Amino acid sequence: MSKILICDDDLGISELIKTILEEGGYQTQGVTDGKGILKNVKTYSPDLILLDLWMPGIKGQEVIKILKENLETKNIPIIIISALNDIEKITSNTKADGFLPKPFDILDLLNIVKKHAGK
Amino acid sequence: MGYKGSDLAKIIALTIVYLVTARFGLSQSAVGGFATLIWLPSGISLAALLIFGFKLWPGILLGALLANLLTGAPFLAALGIGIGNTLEACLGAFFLEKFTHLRRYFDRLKDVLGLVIVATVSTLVSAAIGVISLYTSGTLASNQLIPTWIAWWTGDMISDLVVAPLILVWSNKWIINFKLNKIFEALIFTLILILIYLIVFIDILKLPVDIRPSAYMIFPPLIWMAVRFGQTGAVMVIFILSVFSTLATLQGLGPFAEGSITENLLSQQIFMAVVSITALILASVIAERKKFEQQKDEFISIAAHELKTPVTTIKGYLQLLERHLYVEKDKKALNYILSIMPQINNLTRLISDFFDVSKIQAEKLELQKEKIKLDDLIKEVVIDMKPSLDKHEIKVKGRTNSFVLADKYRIIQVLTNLIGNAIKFSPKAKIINIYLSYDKLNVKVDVEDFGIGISRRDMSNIFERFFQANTNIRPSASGLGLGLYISSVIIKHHGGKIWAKSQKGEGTTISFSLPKVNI
Repeated sequence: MSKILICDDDLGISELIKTILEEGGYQTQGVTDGKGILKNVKTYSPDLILLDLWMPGIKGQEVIKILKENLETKNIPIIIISALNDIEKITSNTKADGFLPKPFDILDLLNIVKKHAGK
Repeated sequence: MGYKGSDLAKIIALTIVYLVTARFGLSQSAVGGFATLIWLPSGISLAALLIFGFKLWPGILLGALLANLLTGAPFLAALGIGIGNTLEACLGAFFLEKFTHLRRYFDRLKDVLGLVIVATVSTLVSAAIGVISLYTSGTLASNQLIPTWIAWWTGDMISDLVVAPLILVWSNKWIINFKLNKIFEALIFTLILILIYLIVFIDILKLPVDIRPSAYMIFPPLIWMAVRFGQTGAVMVIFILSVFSTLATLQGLGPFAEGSITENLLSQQIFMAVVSITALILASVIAERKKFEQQKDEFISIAAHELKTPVTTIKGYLQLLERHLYVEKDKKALNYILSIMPQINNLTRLISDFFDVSKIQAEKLELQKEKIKLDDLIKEVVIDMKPSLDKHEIKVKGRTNSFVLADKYRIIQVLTNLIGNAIKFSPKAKIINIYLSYDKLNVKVDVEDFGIGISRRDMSNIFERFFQANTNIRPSASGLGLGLYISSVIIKHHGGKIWAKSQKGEGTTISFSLPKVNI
């Protein structure tokens, strides 16, 4: 079962994504900020990270940079999930592997997760 | 306050600058030998104290003392003048820091008004002390008291109004935006200003005296500068104008050359004071307005982001609910959900539209252009829209066989908007046609519907912001009137054109063209 690490400072959204993915047969863990990702990424070793950009503390872009520059974590795909209007442009300026604009369709979420993390 | 080596260096530098500019000023037709209308040191001192702090005051005192000693003032008189000039700068700087908490950008009206008060009031002090020092030391005759005092005061005042803002504004770190059209505008502006200067001050047209162009001709370009180039432009133009109008007046040229040199300079300097205050006030008010708009745009973009968060949660759980109801075969409840869903999508679109409009207003619509095969993109959009179609069918006819240099997501946005409008405004029709065509230079896309059409009266306004045609479509379906406005801005930003043809009751065709790129 693929493991997905979800990072969103909004608990409602993080709970929603967990519910959708768990119903879809994934194992999930939620964190609320960039620190949480950096702390958990090695112990949890996820197959995919779903990442919000606007968070308190370390910004999403910074988190992506740190993860993609680290040998142990650089191969974990990262999908940006954000409500920012220019999400496609922001994504192209990072090393993230894909993006999903908020609000999203359940099917789009499941498809992008399946594409990058398998089943 | 403790002094460091660098402070000492600054004090010495200020002393030298003061001395040199003071000597220069005093060499130009000084009234009573000591009061000159061309007086840079006051503005320099005020700016120096505001930028580097009050501890630079000895530089002013020393500079003034030396300058007046060299001009032939007795030591006590020179000391008195020095103390007066130092007090003027200190009082001015103190007032501006204490009461207006001056921002050196002069982008707030209160900073400009503070400067005007300082320039008129603090300078009274040094003029009074200076004239009394000279009089009591026997250097100044009693009949020269008043003219000397007036020249002293005016010279200091204009220096605070012209020189100080120039130094203060340009001492900030500016990110200068070298846009081609801005440079072009500045160039035209400079030419016009030179022309007006030549006409007004040098009188190149040699017009008869009674219709000689007035100095007030410089106001229109000055106001233009303040409006378009803000404080940086305004202070620069004020300073340059001040220098050149002084030069002309000194040579007996221009609209102020009518009496003695001192009288001429006095009226020219007063005129420059008025010019300076006008331009500074205007530039600061414009800057305040710009700042307010910027705050508004930031607010909208944050609000758009924050509004999407709850919408995301609602939409997600609604879709989860839909799945469960589907499994439980609860058709009635499923229908309720299906009625909510389009509204959630409408809400999302409205939020995005608001954000786009705020960007357009702030002139921050950025395009990431790439080579796009238009035909494929249009097919993609049509396929993506298919699941949301109720009874309409979208037919794509023709080909462009062309590439365009465009921002893919923005063009998708335009197409989605045009097709969405076609569907919305043709509730009884079944077909939406998309015609693709091309010529040597452009590709053309027509989106045709057979709906309610647009009345002749409304046609000229449909690309305006917030415009809503008078329709019988229920309000919830008609939106905010932002879609076509945003689409037209996007197409224009791509160097394309957008237009509409419509017949009331028969249908509407919205077309756009984009420049082709060669493969």
